[in-house]
Amino acid sequence: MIRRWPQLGLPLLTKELIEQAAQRRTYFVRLLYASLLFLLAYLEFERILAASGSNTLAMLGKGTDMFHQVINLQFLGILLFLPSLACGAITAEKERDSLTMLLVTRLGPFTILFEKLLGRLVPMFTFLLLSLPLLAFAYSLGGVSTLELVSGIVMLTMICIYIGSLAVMCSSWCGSTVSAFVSTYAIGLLSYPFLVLGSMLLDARFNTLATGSFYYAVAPIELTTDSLGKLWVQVTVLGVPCLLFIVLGRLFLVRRAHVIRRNLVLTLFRRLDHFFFWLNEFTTGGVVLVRDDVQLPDDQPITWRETQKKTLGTTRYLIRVLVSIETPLFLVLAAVAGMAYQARLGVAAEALYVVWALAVLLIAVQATSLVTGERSHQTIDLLLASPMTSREIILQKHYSVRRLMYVLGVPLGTIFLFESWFANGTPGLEDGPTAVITVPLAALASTFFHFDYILCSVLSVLVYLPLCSWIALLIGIKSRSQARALLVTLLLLVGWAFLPVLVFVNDQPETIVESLLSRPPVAVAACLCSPSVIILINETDGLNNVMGTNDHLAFTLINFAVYGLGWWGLRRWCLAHSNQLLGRIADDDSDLGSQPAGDVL
Amino acid sequence: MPPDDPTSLKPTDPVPADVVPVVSIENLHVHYGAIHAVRGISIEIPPGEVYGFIGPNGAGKSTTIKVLATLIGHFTGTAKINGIDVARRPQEVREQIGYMPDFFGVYEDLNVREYLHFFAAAYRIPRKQRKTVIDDVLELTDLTHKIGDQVDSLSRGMKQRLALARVLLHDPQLLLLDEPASGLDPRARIEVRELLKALTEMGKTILISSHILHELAHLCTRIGIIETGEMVAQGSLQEIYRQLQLMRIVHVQLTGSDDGVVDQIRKIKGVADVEQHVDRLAIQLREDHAAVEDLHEALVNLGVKIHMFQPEAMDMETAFMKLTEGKTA
Repeated sequence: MIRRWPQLGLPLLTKELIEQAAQRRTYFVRLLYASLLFLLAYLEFERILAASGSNTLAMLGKGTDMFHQVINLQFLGILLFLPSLACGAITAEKERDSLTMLLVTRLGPFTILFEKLLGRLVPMFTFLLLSLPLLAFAYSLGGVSTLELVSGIVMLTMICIYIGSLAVMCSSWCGSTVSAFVSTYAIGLLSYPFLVLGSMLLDARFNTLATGSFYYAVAPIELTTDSLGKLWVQVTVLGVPCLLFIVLGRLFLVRRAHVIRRNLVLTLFRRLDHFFFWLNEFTTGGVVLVRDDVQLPDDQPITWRETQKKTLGTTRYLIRVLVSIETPLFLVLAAVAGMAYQARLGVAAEALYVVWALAVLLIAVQATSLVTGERSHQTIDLLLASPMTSREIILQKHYSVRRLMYVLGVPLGTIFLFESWFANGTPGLEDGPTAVITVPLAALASTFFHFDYILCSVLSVLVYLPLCSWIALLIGIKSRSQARALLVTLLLLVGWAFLPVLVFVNDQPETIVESLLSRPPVAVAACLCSPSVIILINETDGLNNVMGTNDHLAFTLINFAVYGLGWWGLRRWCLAHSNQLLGRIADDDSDLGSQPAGDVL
Repeated sequence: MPPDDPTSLKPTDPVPADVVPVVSIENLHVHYGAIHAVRGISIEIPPGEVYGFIGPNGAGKSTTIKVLATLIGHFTGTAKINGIDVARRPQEVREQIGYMPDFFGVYEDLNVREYLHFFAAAYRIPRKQRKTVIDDVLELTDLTHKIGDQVDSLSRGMKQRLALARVLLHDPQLLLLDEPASGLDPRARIEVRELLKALTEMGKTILISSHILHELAHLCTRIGIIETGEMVAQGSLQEIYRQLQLMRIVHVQLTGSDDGVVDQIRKIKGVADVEQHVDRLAIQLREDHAAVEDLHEALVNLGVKIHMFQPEAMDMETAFMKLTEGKTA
């Protein structure tokens, strides 16, 4: 028997790279990434210049800050970009029904997986290469040892391989790109304690524990180190899981090549459904307060389908979403009520950030699926050939997102109430059994003492959530698939939330707001650049009154005015160009005035 | 092989001046980026006609139908439905057409009743009339017994009938059917064909595209053959045969005849040539000069004994293959 030796042709990798090279967005994203990286590095350098007082000799040895800034930015870039780049490696083939064709070629499953992984790592490595001139510049300033420089590069490379192999493994397991994307982040978070444990064990074994064990509970991986032993430990801690992910990915590739696509959120809610059903039977004996009686559509068929026939749009499920978020939230807030002033407000603020993130995620998922779902089910042409106007189609579609926004407003409102109550010193809590009545009354009363905080908080919900929903809807209309729409929306929203904070604030997290508000022009610019800055200011200065004045109100209101106008403009633009967006012919005399107004937000 | 001058194949039955054509397309051009998908197509379809649109994949059939369905805006030329300009008043056009794409859009969360009610509402049929209308279209498409079934659970043939029921909800005058019989088994195909015949009898004007050529031959009053975005021939089937000067081959076995008979056959009016095979003669007959029956009569008159007389079926495949080269835009 003649043994066929493998040939190093890498056809799949070649195809992947050619495809990426042919896409305009590859260059656009790279340019954007490079621009942001160099802008942030420049800002850091400007800070070094300012601190040195234009004395060039004083700048010597100050490269450390810039070096760490660049390494940290690249790390954030990897966390943001690589999962979205890599999670579609195998699922895209499954969605196009082309994986079977690949599997019957002479390429073995391992080769396919390896080439797919390389195909996603190469673009990320090109992003990393962008920072080489900056690292060299920081090195030339001094203060960075050669080993630190090498360790920074090695660690970024290892983290790329770690996240890339994790994403490709998830892609092998999952049926859809969206599921793989969510799974990558979920498993990444779950694997965190294991990395901590691995680091601690290896450090203890090889005596490389330099910075104290408490440090590892926070960050198991140091991006730079000046100890060769420590570098080896970290490479091992990241390298072993990489091998495991690749082996698992190889196993899943064939076994789950024909996996049936499942909606992860839907599956989760169906499980919750069973749980609530059991809970209801157990506690009340099966009392039903809201019945989902399905009626036939009246004059708004799309709204009818979105709210009565789509599982996640029905009233019953929306109530379950509310209960699933509100119950743990209420318990956590009630549990921390007895803590010290700063501690209870800190926990409430963190809960608010989590609920905001969840709200934005749910709205993005719902809004991006509105039109992409019609496309994937090939029903969009049927709607477009009907006499319904494009404006009606979009507004009726958006109605389901509005219902979701109302529901998500409740937990956010709960936190606002709790926070204003916490800030007032938890009045009514000492009344014993009657606290059930006195605490809610005291919480409501405390909103009058903190009316500015409540006003800004409520405005943030009224402005930002609809704005997010219209951005996601527009991206969904423009995208071919929901996966792509969701990835683009999340990247945009996450970048929008974090980048301005990184650009404008170089201080420690706890002093961000003080630092920001002490420089009014910078604060205005930061507020205009990101909604997250406003939420941060409102949570810190709105309640604690850091500056001793109500300065934050001015910044906040400027932001709301600009973003409110942005939302109104975006909505109006989407509706005015609805025909072009949906790809159908518009009447010659069509304009906003001649169209039916519909049920508008 | 395509004709030397395709432009010579013009519609032979123009719509009378006093009748407003249901469909009127003039010099239609559609571009998808650098691809010139439709190149100067002109069609006129009078009321009540069934117009068959034939062409290889990528020829521009679906694009032309989508223009009429108001789903493509970037075109040049004129497209009118009942005299209404598609580009200028698409909203009015949508009221008058029933569009069935070449795929079946599935709302897997709806049953047949909900599916039809959904589109009845989308077509703004008054609420009080909806039940009656839906019952009628279900009866017409023989789906009444499936009213409670999930749409996703129906067979492909039933889905196509349901799609036809959907396009009939608002009683449009023009039906735009893109590959309605594609992917159906023979029984389902016959059922759809019979349904289309019933719609024709109801006076609907139908523009139908298909790959299944003999289906169109049975159903259509006129046919347009399109390739690489250009109309290479249109007219009734007989007109196309005549225009293409297609010759019918008639296979004949004669008993007790000699070589002289072949020369005599060659002299019969309409006979172009006679090929001598071992067991039979293959006579090439110009049907525009003489019918098959005339040839038979002429052979009898020659005094030969006919053992076999078998005209070769002349069908649309022949015309299609002669007119097209299998190129795409």
